[in-house]
Amino acid sequence: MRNQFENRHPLTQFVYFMMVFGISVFVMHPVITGTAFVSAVILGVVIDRKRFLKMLFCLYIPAVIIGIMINPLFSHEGITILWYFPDGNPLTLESIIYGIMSGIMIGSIFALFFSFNKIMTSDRIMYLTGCVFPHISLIIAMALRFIPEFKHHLSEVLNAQKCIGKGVNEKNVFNKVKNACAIAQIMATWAFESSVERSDAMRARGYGLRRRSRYVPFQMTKWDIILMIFMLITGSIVIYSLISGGVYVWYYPYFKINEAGGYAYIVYFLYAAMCMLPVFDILLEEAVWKSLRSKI
Amino acid sequence: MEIFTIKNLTFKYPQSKNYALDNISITVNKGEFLLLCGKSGCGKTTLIRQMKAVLAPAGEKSGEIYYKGKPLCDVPERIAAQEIGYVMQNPDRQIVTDKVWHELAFGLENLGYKNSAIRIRAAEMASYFGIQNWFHKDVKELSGGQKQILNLASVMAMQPGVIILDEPTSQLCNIAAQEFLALLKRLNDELGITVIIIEHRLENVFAMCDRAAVMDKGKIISIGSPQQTIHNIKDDDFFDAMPVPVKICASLGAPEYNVPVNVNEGRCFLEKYLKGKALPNADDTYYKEFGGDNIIEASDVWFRYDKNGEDVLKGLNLSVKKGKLTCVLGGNGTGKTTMLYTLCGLYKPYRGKITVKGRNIKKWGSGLYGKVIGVLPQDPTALFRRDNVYEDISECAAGAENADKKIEEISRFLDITDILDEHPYDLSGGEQQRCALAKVLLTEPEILILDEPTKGFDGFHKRKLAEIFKTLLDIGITVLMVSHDIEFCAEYADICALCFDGGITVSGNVKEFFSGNSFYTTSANRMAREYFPYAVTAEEVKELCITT
Repeated sequence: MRNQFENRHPLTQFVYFMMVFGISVFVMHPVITGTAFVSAVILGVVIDRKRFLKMLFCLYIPAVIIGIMINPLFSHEGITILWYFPDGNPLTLESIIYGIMSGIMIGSIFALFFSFNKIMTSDRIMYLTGCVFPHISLIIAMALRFIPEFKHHLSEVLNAQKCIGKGVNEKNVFNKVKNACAIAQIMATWAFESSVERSDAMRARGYGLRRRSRYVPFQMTKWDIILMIFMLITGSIVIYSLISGGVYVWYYPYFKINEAGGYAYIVYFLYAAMCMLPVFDILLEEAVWKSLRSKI
Repeated sequence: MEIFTIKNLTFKYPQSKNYALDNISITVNKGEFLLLCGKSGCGKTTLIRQMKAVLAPAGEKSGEIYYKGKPLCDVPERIAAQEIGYVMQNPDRQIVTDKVWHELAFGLENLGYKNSAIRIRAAEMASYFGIQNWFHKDVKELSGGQKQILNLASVMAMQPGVIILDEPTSQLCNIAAQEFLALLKRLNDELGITVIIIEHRLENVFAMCDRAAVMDKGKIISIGSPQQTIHNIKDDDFFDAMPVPVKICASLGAPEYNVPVNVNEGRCFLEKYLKGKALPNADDTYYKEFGGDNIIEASDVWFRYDKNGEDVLKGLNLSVKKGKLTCVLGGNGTGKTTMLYTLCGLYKPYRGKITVKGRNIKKWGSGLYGKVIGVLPQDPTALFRRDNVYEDISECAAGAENADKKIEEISRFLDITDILDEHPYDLSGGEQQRCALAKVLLTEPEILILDEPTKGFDGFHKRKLAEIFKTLLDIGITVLMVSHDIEFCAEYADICALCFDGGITVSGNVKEFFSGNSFYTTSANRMAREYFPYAVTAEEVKELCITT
């Protein structure tokens, strides 16, 4: 069963992913990036624990470790020298810190992408595309319909041709190419024929009349609006603090971070709240369900 | 009130000598269930396409068509799109989008309906047609029958007053076809939707229609109630396409205008007819065991498409006798086609053994295709490579001695000499099938394997196909076919087998096979099984009734 956040309006989900992706890609602040990583892992676990943990240990963590190891090998900037490589290049503390942070950043993007794939199904992406380009969404829908049909017919043709001794797995290269060309031609003719019939069916159902509308199978609730407003406000505050320099970080030539203080804590808290929003959304709904059911 | 009034409609396709429609006048009343039938190529489709202006073919036209009293050409396109629904033959090619819900909404989107209105309509349609369980599915996951129901539902979502259907069940198996027709009848009964339908298989639809129109060569030769139709075409050769109970009872002298049209009525009639007569003893001369060699043998064959997928064939055992016509029956999705392709070596079973002419199929290699096995796929267009029939079929004879002579012989035998210059895609379904068959036969196989060869055929073409089979069997060619056409198999097969759940459940001599089943059998057998358990075709029942 799809959980609460998966059932939210695509626009809400889109705003969430854009905010978190955007901030994670452009900002590599230890606290901000760390928060993004932890919340992405929690979200992944909440959505599909088994598959996410498998991906996490087999793919994401190795990628993070490789990222951490590569940076000090190639980057020798920074003033705190710890050791010298045999070839005379220095190993610096700054490059190690930078490596760790970039590894975590990559890890958080991977982990977030797992949830993105699970939540933003093809029809949701199509809806969002359609908001910007209304005509393209129908074309995509038709293409998604056509491709499996084409594949199916192709396998039918390949089998049929093989059975009359005109397949593509012949030993003679000349015959092989000739047969493959013939099959390509068959498929082109078939595609044309079937599209003629389909266009008839479309016109029979009134395609081409003026003022076409677009059916959206998603409903926006007041909670979608509340969540979106919340994300936009917190996101703006975080972004403002990053741009204005309230929250900053330097890695080179030496590592320097904004001072911990009331302002910074507020920004950290708001960002964490935004990142964890889907997790709260899912868990809260589950808790409500459980308590309601326990009363039956 | 009249929905359609057609007056003296005449139509000719460009570059054609004959009139496709010849002075047709017909009225269709509101709430009527009108059946349109006739031989292939008699102009049925041309006629109903005229009623849907956007689909009307181009050509020379005279006469008038009125829709609700207004000339059809003056009806605004928006009204026509909404009020006149049209469902075509091929379930796959009418579906526009990839999701079931989107398909239901498509027509209403075109009309510019608001989101909330579409939501209500889609929900309503899904509930009425029993779609709610697959509402969110991808279209590609649906079966053929479900696809056609979806097509009907997405047309009905626009709330038309009249719905026109062009052979909607010809691509479906019997059970799916019955389900579809029952839905249609319900729409007609409960909502008063006017239905105009073309059908080849009259078995079910003939009994449910209000009026039937029979066409021949662009003319309407009879129109009236089913009983009236039976009376009118009694001497026409189209009478052969009538449902089996009608054929049997009419020849046994059923009262005029009161001929039984379904199995139940037929049974009552036979009961009266045979009352007091001495029934022959159960005749076992029908029962004969076929000797002879097994040309294909499969033992304990298991097959699945994916490593982690489900088994499609589960311990299949089958032997195909040399020089006999073996039919494998079974519903959709029982693994018939998979079985066929496994038997001819296209799919490799992961367990079990298949031998062809006593030799393991794995050892045959590509030498198997052509000289030994010829396969005719379900969709004959998968075979055509060139843009004219002659070039296309001669490709398969290339390199052989006196190729020209062989091509000529085969084309005469399959009756395709007149269409050798045409493009394969311009031919009708039956003609395409025959050209594809010509191609396969030119490779001179010893075993001919066919997948649903009678799909979309009318009675005349079925008989033609049966004649072809007979000639092939006489010269020692083995024929194996899978089909869900029970009537065809009962009439012409030597051996029948039932495919179920990935294996062969029963197999045996055709009489034995059908008399042993009580549901999955021909309508003639269902009608007369109490009296003549071994009679499976209409002819046999007729003969037995007359001789007792």
